[in-house]
Amino acid sequence: MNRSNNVPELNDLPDLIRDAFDASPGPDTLRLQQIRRQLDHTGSGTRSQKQPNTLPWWVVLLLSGSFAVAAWWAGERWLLPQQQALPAAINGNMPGETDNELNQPLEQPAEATINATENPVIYQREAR
Amino acid sequence: MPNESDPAALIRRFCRDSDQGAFNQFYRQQSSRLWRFLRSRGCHEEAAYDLVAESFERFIQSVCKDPASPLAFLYRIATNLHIDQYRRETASPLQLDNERIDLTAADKDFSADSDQQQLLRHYLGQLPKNEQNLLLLRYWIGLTHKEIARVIELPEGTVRRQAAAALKKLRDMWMSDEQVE
Repeated sequence: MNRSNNVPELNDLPDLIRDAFDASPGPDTLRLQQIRRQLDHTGSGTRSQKQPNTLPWWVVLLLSGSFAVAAWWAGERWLLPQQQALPAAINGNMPGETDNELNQPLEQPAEATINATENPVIYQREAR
Repeated sequence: MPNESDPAALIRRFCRDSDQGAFNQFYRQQSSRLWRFLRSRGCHEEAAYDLVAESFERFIQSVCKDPASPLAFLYRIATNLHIDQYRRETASPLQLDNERIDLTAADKDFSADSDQQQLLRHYLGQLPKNEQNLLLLRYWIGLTHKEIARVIELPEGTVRRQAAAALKKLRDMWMSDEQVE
């Protein structure tokens, strides 16, 4: 290795260090640009401060929907007088059944309690 | 009047105003130098790109919590990631601080540099790694002693003392080789 006879002074070393490493080979700028684009795609290219206690929108939607369904079900179950009797066992092979039981008409709710705007019940739950 | 292109000012604008242009400018300023710093630390070329990407990703996620010293924060992330990567690759309980890196072997394309610059890299490479880090962060990257203390997690006074001692040691090695000849 060719050696210079000039040992730099202590005060000159900082500038020499800076110049020596500023001159080092640099990266491919296209690769750096690609990295920059990847930062945007991963969603990291935005302000880092996030609301730590914010629920995702789909969780809010799911909870709201569940609450709405539960409220509707509760209304159907308790707020409207239930005067329909569940039909007898639908399966005709059950022992002890008679034709009279099977031919019993379904009980209809009193007309006064039916709200004309409500949808009629279109199915009955099977007897357990 | 504050310098608009100062790294801390750019990151303050990014955090305060969600100014993507400010962050882009910061990225353009720092990404190349960070890559070269990682290469000078012995990182392979492709691995250096990966570390740059991961460093900036983690940087963006957390810098706005404390945007006072963004450069120190960025280099702290990069240094820790590089150490983690090195430990995964070597899987040995190596004392990284005392490891030496041959800076002239890290990249072969220094032929255009002056003899003095090549000699400087040679002697700098003879120092322990922690002293190399100190000198490069202080005199190449331009961090203050306080910022370097945040990067390497040492007291500021210790950083100041070790940096001065490392600089003197560098010159003493150079001088002793010259005298031998």
